[in-house]
Amino acid sequence: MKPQILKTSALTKSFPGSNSAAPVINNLDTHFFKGEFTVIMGNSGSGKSTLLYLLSGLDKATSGKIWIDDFPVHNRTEKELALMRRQKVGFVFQDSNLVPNLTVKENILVAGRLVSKNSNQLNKRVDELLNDLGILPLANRMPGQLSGGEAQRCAMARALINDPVVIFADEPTGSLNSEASLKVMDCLDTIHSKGQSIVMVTHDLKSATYGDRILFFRDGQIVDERLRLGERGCAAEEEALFTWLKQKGW
Amino acid sequence: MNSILLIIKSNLARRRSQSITAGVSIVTVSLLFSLSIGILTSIQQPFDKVFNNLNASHILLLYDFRNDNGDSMKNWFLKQPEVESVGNPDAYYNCNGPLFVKTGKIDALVQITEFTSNHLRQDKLKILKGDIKDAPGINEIWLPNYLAVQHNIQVGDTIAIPTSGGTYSFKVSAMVSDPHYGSGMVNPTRAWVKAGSLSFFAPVSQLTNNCLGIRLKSTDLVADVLGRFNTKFNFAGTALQYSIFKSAFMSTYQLIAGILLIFSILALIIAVYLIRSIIIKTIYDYYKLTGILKAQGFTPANIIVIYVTQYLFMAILFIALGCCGTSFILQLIMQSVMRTIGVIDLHLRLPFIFAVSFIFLTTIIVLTAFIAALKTTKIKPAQAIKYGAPERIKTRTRADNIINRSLLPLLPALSIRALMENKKRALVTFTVLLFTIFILLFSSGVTTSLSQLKYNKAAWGFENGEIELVRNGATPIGFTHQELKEIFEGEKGIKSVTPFSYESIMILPGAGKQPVNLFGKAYEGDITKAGLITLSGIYPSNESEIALCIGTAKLLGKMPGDSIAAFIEGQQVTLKITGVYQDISNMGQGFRLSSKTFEKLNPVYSPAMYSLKLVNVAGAEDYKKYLQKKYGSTITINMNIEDRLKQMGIVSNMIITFLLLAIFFITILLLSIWNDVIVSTRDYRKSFGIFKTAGFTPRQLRMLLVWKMILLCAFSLILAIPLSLFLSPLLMGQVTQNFGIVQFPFSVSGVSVIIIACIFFCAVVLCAWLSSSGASKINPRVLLVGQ
Repeated sequence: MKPQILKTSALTKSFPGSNSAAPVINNLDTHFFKGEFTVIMGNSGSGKSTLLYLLSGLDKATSGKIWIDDFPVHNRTEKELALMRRQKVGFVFQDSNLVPNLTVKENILVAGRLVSKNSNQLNKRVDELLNDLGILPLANRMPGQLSGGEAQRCAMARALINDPVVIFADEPTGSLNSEASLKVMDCLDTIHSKGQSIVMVTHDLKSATYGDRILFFRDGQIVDERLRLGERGCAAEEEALFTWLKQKGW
Repeated sequence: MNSILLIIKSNLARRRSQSITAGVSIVTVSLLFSLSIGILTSIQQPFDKVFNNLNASHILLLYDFRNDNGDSMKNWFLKQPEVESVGNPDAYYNCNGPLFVKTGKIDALVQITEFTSNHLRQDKLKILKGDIKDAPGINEIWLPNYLAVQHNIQVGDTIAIPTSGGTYSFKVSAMVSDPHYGSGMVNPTRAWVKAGSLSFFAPVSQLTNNCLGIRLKSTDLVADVLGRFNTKFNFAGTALQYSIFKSAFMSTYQLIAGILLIFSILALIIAVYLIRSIIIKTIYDYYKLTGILKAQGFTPANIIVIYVTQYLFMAILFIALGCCGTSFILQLIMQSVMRTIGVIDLHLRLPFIFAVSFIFLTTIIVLTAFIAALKTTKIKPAQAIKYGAPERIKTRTRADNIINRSLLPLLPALSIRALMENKKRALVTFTVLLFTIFILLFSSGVTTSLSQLKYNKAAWGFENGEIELVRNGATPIGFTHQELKEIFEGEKGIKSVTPFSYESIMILPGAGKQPVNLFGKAYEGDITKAGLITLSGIYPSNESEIALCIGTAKLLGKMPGDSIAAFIEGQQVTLKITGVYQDISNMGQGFRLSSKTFEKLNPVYSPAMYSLKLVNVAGAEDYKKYLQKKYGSTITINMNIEDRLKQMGIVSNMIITFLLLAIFFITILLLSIWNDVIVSTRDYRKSFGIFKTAGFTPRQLRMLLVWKMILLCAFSLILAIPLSLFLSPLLMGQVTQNFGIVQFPFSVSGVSVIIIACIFFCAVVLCAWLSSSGASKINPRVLLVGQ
């Protein structure tokens, strides 16, 4: 049995002033395992992204508890959450969300310099990551000069710079073509293969097949889960996943 | 048109903070500009009004009747066609103070003058406080109103005046408006007593001073008449004329108005830059909207009209607000002036002032809006609707290595990158910061220069001696010049003695030009011994040389090396100009001669005044008492120039003016910073979302914005301090050149500069911190696609 890296207890999130009476996250008890690549799927508006924001400490729950690596995220001040994010969390968005006035390398260094004081080590680490993700030659380019896939890989390097406990990825291939998506997912797979825990929200079946475990999310609750049976990214696995999702009302 | 108005209304509502920033800058420019125009165009009115109402003399001849014959001079003037009336000679006694009142001592030089029935028709006085009477009663004195106001003297108070035999007390029975001595800028001033009262002050044999007033049909005729008078009479006294009284009255206000005008032009440059930046930013923010409007049939001209009309409305509204402020402040100033000199009804030319301000400022603002709005003509509807504003491809900047090489802590390094990325906005904020700190340092420097005048007298045109005194040759036991000079040279406490005398000469500029009557000084010995300096050339050393004050040199079109003809002591001589100097004491007019010139033309000439440079500068007040006690009535010690300025309230007026200006500009600055930080927070909200996700604390996010201001503030301070040291004297030289100072003696107090810099820095940082609270509230949800 793998150790749990992330867990929630009676997690609830509702938005004040929202027309809907039901909470977006509704009394959720769940957990994620260390070194596991977990994929969350569900219909639009089901609360997947909100869950990701709550888990990563970017948003505050209405009630309930969250632990990352045994660190209680709930009832923390903004400052404590920020300090926790530096050490324990990496985030990859649908858009790469790189700071437009910083180079690729600087975008990664900014996150790194929040934690590491050793400039030489940090620069070395950035170069390693860029090399691993195949974008080292682009280190001094500005975000506006990158393709979508390249920008997304840069965002991944930024998420990894502080060796986080878990990486949250919110639709990382949502804005990419299939070729770029494949490269990004291969990168995520490489990262995962080195033991990195990943929690990813996606609508894309192909991307979802890279997950070890797929959670289906509906009305603020995880209604079912499925373990990957076949090869990552293979057509048979994609087909099986599609069938399973259809059964759940996807 | 309705649709254009609707868009303008929506623009104003949606861009409230930017509209307010532009509005405040327009209000400030309008206020400063219209106020300076208002003061410049209005300040002569009260003087002319009181001068005419009281039938004041255009020429006052002050003379000793033993040297000049009052009756023959009066008869001559009466025969001149330009003369309207001539008064009777008034006897006066020069009281060299101090006067004693209940509030203490007044260090003022006063001409105690007998009030005769002559003053019921010419050189009349207006009683502003006290019983309305035809003349002061026995043991009563009438004081000029400004003196009473400055020293809080009330009707009924007793004033003790020093006499040759002690002091004599008078009851203050009225405060009067005296057309010649209403401003407090003419030294000595004048007070009035009942005819025959002068015998209380000195023996009749010593009461030899008389004043003769000549009123002309027009103020333009003064130079003609005085020119002829000087050729006819070998006048040994002093001739004061209309222009001197008027300049003295207007000088402080003109100085303040000049400074306001300079500030208003600088503020206008900032306002134009701000408006241009705001419009260009709006154009880019509403790029898509502009495309939609064009698609709906708006022509490029229609789009330009939107911006031009918007700023026309704003200009009208905010210039009107500024003019309202001007109306209020100008009326306050003029009422204060009117109260002092006793004018009741004054017609301010407000419509003219407002019209000039409106036309000038509106034209500039509308033109700025038009030029900035021309950018909209390049917007192509299809591309604008589909893609919005073209995104600038960020390119690498020189600041790249700041983050890579860890040269700076992360937050300031990121702030520098942000500044480099948006140079235009940074430049606007930097300019506003620079301008404000410049104004503060400029204001501080000017007030310091005035208050430090006593340490820098020579640059202002004054002798550097700590004590200036007059030899009273007419007293029974009086000293001759040689005796007194030798006595002073033997005094251990006196380092050097410079004898001099005030003299009047007439310059004959040549054929077809009017003679110029000039007042100046003749010095015995080396003039530079008195610390006096020239702007160009050297001071005269022999009887055929002269140095001219800058105003006179300009008036005559002369420079060192030229020669001029002059009428001195009744004889025509040719003098070579050896130098040009500056001197504030006579509004840039005058001359400096060697006493040899007068000794040659008048064998009995001898200087009557002495500038004493002391060994112990700090002990000047004690030394004055020592001299007065030792030499008694044989000498009269004059008031220091610094005390005279203090008495005239010039320094305090300047400080108040500059304080108000400083408050104005700091308000604009803080609004600009507030606006800049809020706009930056909005523009960088996505970057802040990314930083927040990466682990920046709320305080760090705020500090990113604050650091930008800290850096801009530091750069502006680094630039403003040397800039203010360099530019302030030049600007002040422009303002004061009509007062005889072309090279303004600018003094800076290091402590003041440090205090101002610290306060400025703290105010900027505090404002940036308070306005940055929005950054800490940014939700990373802004990073979601479609947000």
